[in-house]
Amino acid sequence: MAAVRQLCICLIPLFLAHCTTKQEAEVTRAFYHWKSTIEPGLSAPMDKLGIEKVYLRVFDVDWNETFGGPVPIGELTNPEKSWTQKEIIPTLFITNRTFQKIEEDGIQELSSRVLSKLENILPAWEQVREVQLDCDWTPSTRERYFRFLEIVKKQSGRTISATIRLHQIRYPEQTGVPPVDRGMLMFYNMGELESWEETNSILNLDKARPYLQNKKAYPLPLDLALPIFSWGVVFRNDEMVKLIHKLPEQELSDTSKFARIGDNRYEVKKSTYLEALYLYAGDYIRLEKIEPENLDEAVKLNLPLFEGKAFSLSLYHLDTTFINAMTYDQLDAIYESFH
Amino acid sequence: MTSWTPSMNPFIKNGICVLFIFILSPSYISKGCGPSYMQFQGYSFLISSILDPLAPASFLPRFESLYETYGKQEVVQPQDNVKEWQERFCDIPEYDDIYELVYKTNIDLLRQLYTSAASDQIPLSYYLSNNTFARYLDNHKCLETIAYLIFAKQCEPHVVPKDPWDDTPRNVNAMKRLISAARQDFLSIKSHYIRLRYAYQMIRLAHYTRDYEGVLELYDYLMPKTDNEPSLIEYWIEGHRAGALLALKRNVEASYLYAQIFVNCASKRESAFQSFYIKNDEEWEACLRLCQSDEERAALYCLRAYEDQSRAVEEMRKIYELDPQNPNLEPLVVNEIKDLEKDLLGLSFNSHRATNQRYFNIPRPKAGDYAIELAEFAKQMADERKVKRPEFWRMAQGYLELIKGDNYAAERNFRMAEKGINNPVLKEQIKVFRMALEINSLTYLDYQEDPERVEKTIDRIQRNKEVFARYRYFQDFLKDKMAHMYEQSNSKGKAFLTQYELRDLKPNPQLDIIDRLLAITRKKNLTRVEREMITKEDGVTTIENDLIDMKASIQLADFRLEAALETYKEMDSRTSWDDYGVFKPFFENFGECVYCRNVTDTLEDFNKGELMERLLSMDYRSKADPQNSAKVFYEMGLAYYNMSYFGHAWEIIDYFRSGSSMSPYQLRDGDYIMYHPFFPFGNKENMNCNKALEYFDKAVQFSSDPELTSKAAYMAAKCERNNYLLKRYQQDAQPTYQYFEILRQNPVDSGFYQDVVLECKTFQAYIARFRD
Repeated sequence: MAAVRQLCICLIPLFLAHCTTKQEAEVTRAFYHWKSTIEPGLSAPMDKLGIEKVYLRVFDVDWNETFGGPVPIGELTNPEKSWTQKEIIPTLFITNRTFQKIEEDGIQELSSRVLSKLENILPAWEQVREVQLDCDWTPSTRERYFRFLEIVKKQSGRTISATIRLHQIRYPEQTGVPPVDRGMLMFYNMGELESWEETNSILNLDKARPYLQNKKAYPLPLDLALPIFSWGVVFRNDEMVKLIHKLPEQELSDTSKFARIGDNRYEVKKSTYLEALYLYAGDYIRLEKIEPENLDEAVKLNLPLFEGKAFSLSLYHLDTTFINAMTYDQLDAIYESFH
Repeated sequence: MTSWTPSMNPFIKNGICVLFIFILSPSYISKGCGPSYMQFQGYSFLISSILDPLAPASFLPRFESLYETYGKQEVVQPQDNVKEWQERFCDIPEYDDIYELVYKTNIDLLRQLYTSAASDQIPLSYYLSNNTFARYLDNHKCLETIAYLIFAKQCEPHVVPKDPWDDTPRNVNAMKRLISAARQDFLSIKSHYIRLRYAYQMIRLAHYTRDYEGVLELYDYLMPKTDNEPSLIEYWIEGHRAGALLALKRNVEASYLYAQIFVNCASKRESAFQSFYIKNDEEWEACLRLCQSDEERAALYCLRAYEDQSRAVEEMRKIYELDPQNPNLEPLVVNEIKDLEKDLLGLSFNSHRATNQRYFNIPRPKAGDYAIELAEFAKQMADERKVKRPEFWRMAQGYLELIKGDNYAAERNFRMAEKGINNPVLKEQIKVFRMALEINSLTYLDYQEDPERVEKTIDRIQRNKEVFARYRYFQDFLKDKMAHMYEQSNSKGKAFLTQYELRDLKPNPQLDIIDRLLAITRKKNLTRVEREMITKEDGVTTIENDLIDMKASIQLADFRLEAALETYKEMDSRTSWDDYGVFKPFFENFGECVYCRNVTDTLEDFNKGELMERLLSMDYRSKADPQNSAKVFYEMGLAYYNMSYFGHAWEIIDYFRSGSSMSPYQLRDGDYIMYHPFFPFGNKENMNCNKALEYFDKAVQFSSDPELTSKAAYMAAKCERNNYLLKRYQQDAQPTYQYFEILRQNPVDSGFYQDVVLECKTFQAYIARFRD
């Protein structure tokens, strides 16, 4: 017995050493829901994956010239269908031009209107603990957007998070740090979408790598959003002209209309409609999708930022097409990869 | 440590020791600084009235001017409605009165109107009796119409757009009650036109309650029971029917209806265009099958052609094949020409072509091929003469040739088009195109052969008030073309002044441009174009003295004193020297100010010419007797230091100074020419302190006065410091302290040494190294 005790005593330092070298992250599993209608059948896969949080886009805000002010658009049509057993984080996308146009004295009113609308729309507003705001601010709008964030925080009395783009992570001094409680690093849309040479603009790790080389910690606690979506990028006359969201590869299998000309690249051989977009013969399509191994790499790249931290890992975004494009094990592995 | 004496000048005291702090405020000759917003810069010679204002494309964003003139759908819709009411009442009621009664009057007044019309005894109220429409309805006892207006007013709160932030749900029950009441009375309404309007109100209410099946049911029930004259209300009804079909995912039928609305109803055109939705080839074919004529089929292709980024010429071919007289063909080609103008017009000489490409990706990669394709199509239209206005197409072909750069073909087509043009707008348009062609045809070869003839042509173009002065793009188009022509002819001075003002040359004056412009100012027989170039705003004086001042400044910056003075003497009189500033170059500036408030008033003032004379005289004197010239050397050092970037008299050899020029980013290439968005040659800073250092060093060498030695060594240390600052971004750059060492080893019991040298923090830091 004494030997066992001695052995245990000997092992304690080893155990402690192990604890200090491999700092496990505490991951809260989450999803973004970015559509304007909540479709049935999403609860089961989320439950199976142990999703605890849903970042629910409730509406966008854009500037409307006719109205002469910011207006809500693309409102979620059936918020009553949202998931009562999960934490719902209402999320709003606000266009940058809203803050380019809004007067300083309109910011307070915008905040009141946004919060009042959220309260009216969301049946479970009282249970909401966090609100997330998404705006790709620029130097000219930073001051007004940050002021808006401050007012929303004060008026709502809730945790406020804001989305953070990669360049904002790398250059916090230049881009500013939003005055919020948490930041959500959006780890996607990092490539050159409009260039035909681009391999995958959704997740281009070569482009992302330099942005994560800032050795200083970002001044906000961060959550992380990783992509699982796909789209087709249409080029006409050497110009990017349209995106076709959720374009499945099977749609391009008709060889009388499409010719595969390379990895994920197609040429339109005969003018045709595709997902409600009319394509002309001679157009080109680059199919961009996320492979599990790309996500593995993305996680590795982000590990230093999140090691030992408690954070939400949210996949973008909740849609049967994207969920069905991966197996349960693949999706589960993404959440597990920070452990 | 010596304390500051009360007599010490406080400015010196404050300024003296902040050795490494620079005043970073920018100064500027005239233009203001501030954020500049990049936008596409090109030319357009299409006049907005070239199209019928009611042409289908008048809503498209590219037609901002038509938008401004005729308004958007929300403006057009009530206008068309009021016009239709007016027509139905034989144009007797006035437009504004109808508008007032239909859109502005409240329901109580309408009820009063009904009571008056229904009674022989009750007169109209004062307000209503002043309204011609109310009077008409009252006089003719149009009770059905008034009852309808009351009903429409009851529907209004349920259908008008509300505050987008208002979340109050629609009162569906009230809406249904209104539908039910109207339906009950529908068949008793005698006027089929009023029936149609009731049908519209009911169907619209049903649509807004999202009872899409109800919309279709109402439509099927009500519409066969109306037998009215054609009305725009029918299209409004079809719009709601299409909306319901779309909501029920019957988008083929919906899109067919939207296409017909798009073609036939201006007041719903915009929303019809936005709602048109075809998912796949099968739906497109099914939609085509619903069409009952080639005109209807052509409408479908029109909608596809108007899509942003469409290959419109392909769609236009199909439209032409089905319906050569289709009114959309002209707006479509104009749309395409507008884009091609941006891509190609004046591409070889557009002064903003680099930024257009970089920031807006203009020209589009295959614009040239597309212009050829479109010109061929325009030619086909003009040749086959099946379209409404073949002469319009010939003119379009000519303009496309001009855009492509084929001036000869453009001229030929304009000539052919002119023969058939009677429409005054097209006549005006072709005049504009012809002027653009004339400018586009100016060549450097012609200019080299006969410059006077070319400049006379330019003069004639500029004086054309009818065309040149009326269309705003001509100014830039001609200016850019001239600049390009002058550049190709190696007439750099003219090329510069065509595009810029003389002040834009000052931050980094270019000797070859200045010499060429000086030659023009001294030319005997000037053309009018040349005279305008060199005459200042007062209309009398020329820029000659300004050019001389700039040339002398360049020479002075290169320390070529004799040459600079000789240049200055070329000014028309010595009194003109004062026009270019007076300075106190011998001020002892031990601080760091460049905008000094503490310059001693008693010091002698010098204009640039006088300073050059004084410096030359000092130079001769010091060369003759260097041993006794320490003070002269010191003063020459002061002058050269003060006129450098670091001195308060920097304007002696510079016209623009920016504090940001000291940033490592700006200094990196080592030429001291800083990029500036407004100045074509950037901003050159005179940062070289070596000449000043040379004279301070001589003063140190030859001085027998310890006080003078200290001052000269201190100023030399400043030069040494400046030289290091300019190279501090280089990896191997190390500060040197040769003159601090002299000061350290030769302490002087003087006011200057105690008050300035010993109080200097950098010097303190330097001597601290030797204490241990």
